Parts: sequence; structure tokens; C-alpha cells
Amino acid sequence: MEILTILRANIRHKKGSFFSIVLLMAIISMALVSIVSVTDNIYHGIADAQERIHAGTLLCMIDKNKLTKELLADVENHELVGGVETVESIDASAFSYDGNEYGNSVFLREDCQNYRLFNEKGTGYQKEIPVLRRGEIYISQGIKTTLSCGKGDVVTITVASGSYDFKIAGIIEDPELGAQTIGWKNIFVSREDFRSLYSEVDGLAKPEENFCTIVTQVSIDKKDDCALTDAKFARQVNLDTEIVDMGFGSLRKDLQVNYTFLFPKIICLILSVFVLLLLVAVVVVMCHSLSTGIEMEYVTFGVMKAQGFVKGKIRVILAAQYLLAELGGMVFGTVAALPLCRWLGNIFQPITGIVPRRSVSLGECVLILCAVLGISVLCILLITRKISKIMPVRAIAGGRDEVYFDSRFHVAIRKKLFSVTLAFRQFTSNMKQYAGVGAIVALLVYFMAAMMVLVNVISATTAWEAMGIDYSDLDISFEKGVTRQELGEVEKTLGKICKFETSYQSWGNSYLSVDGEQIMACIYSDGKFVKAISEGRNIRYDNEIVMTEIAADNLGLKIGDKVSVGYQDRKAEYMICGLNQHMNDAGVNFCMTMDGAARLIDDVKLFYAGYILEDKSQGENVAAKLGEQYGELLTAEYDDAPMDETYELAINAMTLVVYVFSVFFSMIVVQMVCSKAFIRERRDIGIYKALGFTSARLRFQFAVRFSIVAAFGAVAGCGLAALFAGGMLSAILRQIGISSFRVTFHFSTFAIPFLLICTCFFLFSYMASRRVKRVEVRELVEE
Amino acid sequence: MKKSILSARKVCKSFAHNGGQLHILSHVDFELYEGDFTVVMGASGSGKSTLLYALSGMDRATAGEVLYDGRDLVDMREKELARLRHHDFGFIFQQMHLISNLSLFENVAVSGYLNKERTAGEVNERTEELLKKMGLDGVKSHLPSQVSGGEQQRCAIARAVVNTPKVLFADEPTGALNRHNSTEVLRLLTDLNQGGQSILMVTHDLKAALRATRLLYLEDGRIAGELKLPEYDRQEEKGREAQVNAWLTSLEW
Repeated sequence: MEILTILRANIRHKKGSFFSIVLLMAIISMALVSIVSVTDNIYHGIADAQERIHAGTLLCMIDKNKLTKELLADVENHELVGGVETVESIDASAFSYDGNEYGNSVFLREDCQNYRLFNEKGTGYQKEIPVLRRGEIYISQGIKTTLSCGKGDVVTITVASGSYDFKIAGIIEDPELGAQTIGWKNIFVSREDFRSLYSEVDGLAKPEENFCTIVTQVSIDKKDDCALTDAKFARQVNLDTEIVDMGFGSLRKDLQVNYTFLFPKIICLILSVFVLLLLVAVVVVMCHSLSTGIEMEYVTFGVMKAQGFVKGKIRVILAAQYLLAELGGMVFGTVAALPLCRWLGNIFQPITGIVPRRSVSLGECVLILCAVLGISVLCILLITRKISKIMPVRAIAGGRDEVYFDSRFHVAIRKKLFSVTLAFRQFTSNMKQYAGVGAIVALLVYFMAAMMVLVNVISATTAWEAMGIDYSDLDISFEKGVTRQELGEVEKTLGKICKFETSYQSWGNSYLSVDGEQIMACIYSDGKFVKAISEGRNIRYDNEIVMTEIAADNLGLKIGDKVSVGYQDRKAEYMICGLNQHMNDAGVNFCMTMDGAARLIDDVKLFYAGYILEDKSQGENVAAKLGEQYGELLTAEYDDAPMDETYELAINAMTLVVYVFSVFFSMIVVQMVCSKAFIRERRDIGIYKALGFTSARLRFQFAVRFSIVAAFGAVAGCGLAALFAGGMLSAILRQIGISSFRVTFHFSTFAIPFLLICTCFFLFSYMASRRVKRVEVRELVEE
Repeated sequence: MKKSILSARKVCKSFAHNGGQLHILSHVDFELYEGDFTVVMGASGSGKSTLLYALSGMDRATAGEVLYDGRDLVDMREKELARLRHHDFGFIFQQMHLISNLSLFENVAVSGYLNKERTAGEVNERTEELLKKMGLDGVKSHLPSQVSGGEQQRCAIARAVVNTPKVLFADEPTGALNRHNSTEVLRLLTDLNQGGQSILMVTHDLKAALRATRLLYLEDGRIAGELKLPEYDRQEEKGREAQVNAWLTSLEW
């Protein structure tokens, strides 16, 4: 009962600090619960959708003519295979809307029985899928987002027999290929259209090596009792049957999930790290509050001890006080997370093409929040150890150990810059008190600077290149491919129009098997276009390849290893001469030259080239001139935006979230720390007033002091960012293929977070110090 | 005839207490004359310190006027009061109240820096001079926690006079000191007064009261008696003590 009475009195007496902790913990809990639940919801959303359409463990794309009965029988009879389903589709060489072409393979299919159609907003499904009529198609979300087209829009699809216009009748959920982060796309057409197009293209000669007219999509499911991972299963089936090698590409079920979830995962990972840093900040604030609280209540604890309270009981009261605040915050945060989960799920829908579940992962969240409580209990127990040192007699006499101020950072107080030097002295005299605040600022600034690095990279093309991304302003694609000589002619023409730099010349990308495992090969005309070599050297000879660090890690390979690379029924040996970074296929790929590819593929030509123009304003004009001069030989497009708008928007939104949270956090932290400092310094404020200091001057001094603390913390944060931001971002962005994030620092990378946090601290501490006005000099009177 | 530099007219001060009003000062009339060493005495709770704080502008009277240089302190804005505190008035507290994280030198100089009429060099020079005079030259870079109570109070006196105030207020300046330190502090105050400094001091210490040239006795928030004395002379201390004692006895002290 006595514990409850004191607990109630303490909460009543320290409402400010109690509710600050409630608020901080509510923010943390809301963010944690949202991140965990959104992650779970999207994963489950993908799994549910995959189950609905009976997605197989391995999806192989194979030219209809290469899928022989024997090959299919081999696969069906394989000991690990539980079932095989085949669906025929028509290979479309182009899909365009409003002059923009979808840059990846598109397959026309007729059957969409098990699929679901999104409602108008994309937040749910329609009850039934209307049967498509002639001239109508269903597209998946990825195309909608990429080309900004929607229901009712007319698109042009080119197949081997010609180009046709179709009207979009709706957006379909495709958990296999529907996400924006997956290149291939299925387009569903009416039965009548499919039949007529099929009969038109079937039997036509394929336009070139890289294309076929009819593609069979082979969905291979592993047996229920097969314990192998999807990757090992696919590798084994391919080694035994060569089904993957015979096709021009494959996609495992686990990779479909991985690619679909790629972007939300990155965002959630970054936010998780940020929330963990905020959690550290909350624990630091709490410890600071507790520690100063004990110092200030020294006499009270002495009196309590004199009345018979044992140290354990006092520690229980303090722990209960803080844990109650945390629990309250967690409950509020969890409730507030409910609408947030739904909102976040909808935000990612345009990229994932999946409507996530709407639930809160209560079990996982409770476990995480319990862990947070556990950490708090540990910290509270550590901090409250000093209660055992309080002796009743000494405490009642106000007799704490004499305080000596000794600091190496003492700067003389000067008449010029009087307030600033005095504020600096107040800071240096009690640096320990501000260490926690400094640490929190350092964490916030570290993260803000890391986000600035990320934002800078979005707009810095040099940084993109350093990370192995083929950035270019002007992209040229050759429908039927050209030789090096022919491309040279085009470049001569381009050189007459404007100055340029060649970014890449390539055959394109294709899935080849490396020691049985199919991974993407990026085939360039020359080794010089292979970028971001991190180890070893670039390709010199036709039997050499450069592999990404991630792919090499996955396959357990290193520089100098010899690998067997297979394409359909041909195989050749290559040596890994270097490791690089390349973002294609989430960083799992390798690069080879056209000479190297010629050992496996006949008639290797150049299909793509990219250029960086010196005069960007000429871009549209240059593309038009090339189009005029070369007609059907090439398609030239100018686009100087290095990143898709959706991603840029999402990264900017995330940066904004980090900044807003940081500002909000600084406000609460300043409020808490200032109120404690204010109570401790009430006497000094009275003395200063007695000496003739005005409230305004004292408030300014208070604010300057906290700005100095913020400045020290911010410098530490910038230092941390310079040292660790690259590593942290590499670890997170490894998911999208960036294994070694090249950090480029600008003045603004550090200046913006530094100035923002210092300004926030100045303003918030100035506002928090309004109580200085209420201090009366007569409080110094001792009657 | 001495010139009055600070006057109080019907000054009242009351505080809210248990839903009612607790009257500490009731219509006090008072004059402080230039060059006087005025000491206010009285029993505990008689309102001595409250009167001192109301007269020094550290606190505002509930009613009445406190006139300094023709202006009423009660109506002054915070900025004007602040200027008064660092420019015209000096204050010595019973508990010294030095700023704990400033050295003795800085404690004194900080007050001086507030004065816009003096350069930093002048303030530093004046501070050095005062600390030397107070016998604190050797410990000027020490922090308050590193020196004795007497040294702290001497530093507080130096701080109070660094801006050469017109009036020096002292609230029980020897209350927290031992006999030796008390005598030292009183000697300094007497020296200052004999140098022309007007002082208004509150005390219940008879030894301290002997330094006064004018004694006031406060009872239940009113001035109950006044005694004028010649300038302090150590040689005549015994006779002076008997005179003051007799006066206080007559007031039932």
C-alpha cells in the first residue's frame, strides 16, 4: 500500500517527465509495431496470393519449340518434383503507352481464373473478374506504376506478327511477376484475342536470338517432403534435367517474394534502424531523468530510509514509475499503429502489386515490446544502484559529497560574447549532465546525415556509376541488333549533333547458369563498361567474367575460381577475374564481354547503348534527330532522371519522416532535460536575477547552452556518419544489390542536420526556459 | 541634513496563506540617507528581510511606493529593475549565493560585465582591486566550493560593490559565519561605509548592529523604533554596545 501511495504521489508530482516518457515510448512502439506488422502483412499477402494461383517453386520461361516431351517427362519424373504445370504465352517484343515503352519482356496469356482484380483504389479486390472481351487486357500493377497507365487507357502491344492496340480493363494481382521490381510481366488477353494472335505468330521465324514467338511458362513444384531450399531444389533439378539451361530465364518462388518485397524491406530496414536508435535515445533520456531525479530527491530518499524504507523498496517504486510510463506509451503506440499499418500497406501497394493483410502481428510485437521493457528494467536497476549509498543522516542534512567543478575545457568569461561564454562555462562545468543529451543528438544527427547521403546519391549520377549502375541520359535500343561497326556509325552521327560520353554498349541481359545455378549475365561490348570493380581486375580475355560480391558470396566463389557457364545446350568454362557491384537482379549477376558470350551464343550483336550528354538541354532534340535519321533501326529515348519517381518519392518521404521524428524527438528530449536542469538551477537563476540579469538574457543563455550541447553532439554525429554511414547503408542496401555503398559527402550532408538540430535545440530550450520568468529573487531568502 | 536616496511610503507586503492573506509589512514609511549605515533589527518573522527585498527591488511591495531617483520601484518593468540591480544597487545574501561553477574572480567580474558603462579592462581592473582589498588575491581562481565561508562572503561583498552601487543591501551577511569571519566581514562593510557607501543591512546579531549609524527596529511589520549613532569607532565599542542593548531592551527585544 505504501508503495502505491508513493507511486501515485510521484506520478502526480512529476507529470511532465512521466508523460514525456509515455509519449516517447508511444512513438517508438507505434513505429515498431507498424514496421513489424507491415513486414508480416506484405509477406503474408504475397504468400496468400501465391497459394491462390498455385505458384510453383520454380517458374521457367522456355521457347515452346525447345520444351520437348522428353525434357518435360524428365522434369515430371524427377524425384524432387511434386508437380509440373505448363502455360503457353505469346512473347511480346514491345508494350507501349503514350509514347513510353515498357523496357522488359511481356508475355500474353489467356487464363486468369485464379487471379484477383484490384478495386479502383487498389486497396482491395473486386468480387468477380469479368471475362475479357476482344481488345481488352488486364495488366499487373508493376506496368501500371512504371508507365502511369490505368483502366480505360489504350496501349500498343507488338508481337512477332505486328502491333495491336488494346484497352486496359483492369489491374490484376500477380504475385509471381506483378511487382514493379520484377522485369517480366504477364498480360492477360481475351480467349479470342489469344487464339487469333497465337495462330498468327506460331510458326513465324523468331525475330532474333534473344526472342521467341511462343513461350511456355513451366511451373515446377517441389514435393511436400522435399527438405531442400528453393535455390537448392532449382539447382538440382537443372543439373539433372537442364530445364533451366534450355529456357531463357527462370524465377524461383523465394525470389518472387524477395523481389516483390524488395523496396518495402529496404524502407522497413532503414526505419527499423532509425527506431532502434530512437529507442537507445529514449533509454538514455530515461536514465538521465532517473539519475538526476535521484540526485534531486536525495533528501526525500534519506527521509524515506529514516522511516524504514529499504533500498529495494525505493528501487521498486522508481522502476514501477518508469515502467508504468513505458507500458502506457506502448499501449497508446500499439493502438495508434492500427491505422498506420493499413496506411503503410497501401503506400507500398503500387510497388509490390499486392494488397497486404490488415492485421497487427500481436505476438511478435508483444515479444519485442517485452524485450524493450527488459532493457529498461536493466537500465533502471543499474542507475538506481546509487540509492544504496544514501545514508539517512547525511541526506537529511543535505550532505551530499562536495561538488568540485573541474574541467579542461574552461574558457574565460568575456564581456564580449558575454552570454555565449557564460553559457559555455555552464556547459563545461557540468558536462556529465549533458553527456546523455549529446549522445542523443549524435544519434539523431548520424541518422539524418546518413539519410542525406542517400538523398544525395539519388541525384548524383557519379555515385550511381560508382555503385555499378548503368546511368545514362540517352538510351538507344536497336530492334534487330547492330554490329560494333554499325554502332560506331551511329555514334559518329551523335558526335556531330552534340558532345557525349558513352556509358554502356551491351547485348543486354540474359539468364545463364553458373555451375548449374541460373543467374543474370550482363553482356557488354567491352570490359571497360563493367563498372565498380571492388576486387581483382576487369575482363581482358573472352574466358573471363566479373561477378558481383553478392553472387560470389551466394555461390561460394572467389577470384581465380573456374566456373562452368551454360546457355541452353552449350557450356563453356570461364575464370572469375574480379568482383564488382552491379544492381541488376538485386545484385545477383555477373558480367561478361560480347566476345566471351560468343562462346555460348551465336551471332551476338549490340542491342543497347547509353550515353551521357554534355548539354542536357539538347537531349530531346538529339533523340528526335537520331530517330529521324535512322528510322526503324533504332529507338532513342532521352531521360535524365536517374531514378524512378516512385522510388525517389518514397526515399524523400522516408527522409522527411526521419527529419520530422528527429525534430519531434529533440523537442521532447529538450523539454525533459531542460525541466530537470531548470529545477537544479533555480537557485542560480535567482542569483543571476539578483545580480541584474533579465529573464530574456537568462533564457537566451539557457538556449545557447543547449545549442552548444547540440553542437558538440552534432559534431560527434557527423563524425559517426562519416565513419559508419557507408557501412550501415551497405548492410541495408545489400538487399537491392549494393554491397559496397560509395558514400559521397557534400557540405550539405553535414550542414543541414547540424544546423537543423542546433536550431531546434535553441528554439525548444528557449521555449522550455519560459519558467525562468517565474523565478523570484526572494526565493534566495533564508528566514 | 543628509540627502535621502531611497524612500518607502506606506509599503505593505502580504502573501496568500491558507486561503487568506498573511500581512508581513503594514504601511511602512522609511528613508535611507546617503552615506548612512542603516541597520534593521527585529525578531524572527518581524518582516526584516521582506522589507529589505521590497526596498531593493528584489521583490515587489503589495501596496505603497518605494521611490528611488524619483521613480517607484513597484511600477518598474523587469528590464528597469534588472538595470537597477546591476547598476545602482548591490546585494549581499546571508548564504553568499555565489555561482558555483565560476571562480571567485569570475563571480565578481560577471556582475561588472553587465555594466555597459565600463569596458572589460576596467571591470577586470576593478575586480582585481576589490579582491585584493578583500584579501582574496591568492584564491581568486578558486571555485566557491574550494574556499571558506568567510572568503565566500568577502567575495560576495566584492561582487556587490563591483559596480560602485549607490546603495548596498545586506541580508544577515554574518548569519552563516563564525566569529572570526563575521568580524572580518563587518570590518569590510564599515570600511566601505566610511568610504561613503550607503548601506542598508538586516541583522539580528548585536555585534553587527553596532556598526550602524542608524538603527531601526521592526515589529509586526511596522517600524517600532529608531536610534541614531555616531560613526563606528572600535575604541568605543563597549559603550556603544551598552547603549544599543538598552535601546533594544526598551523595545522588549
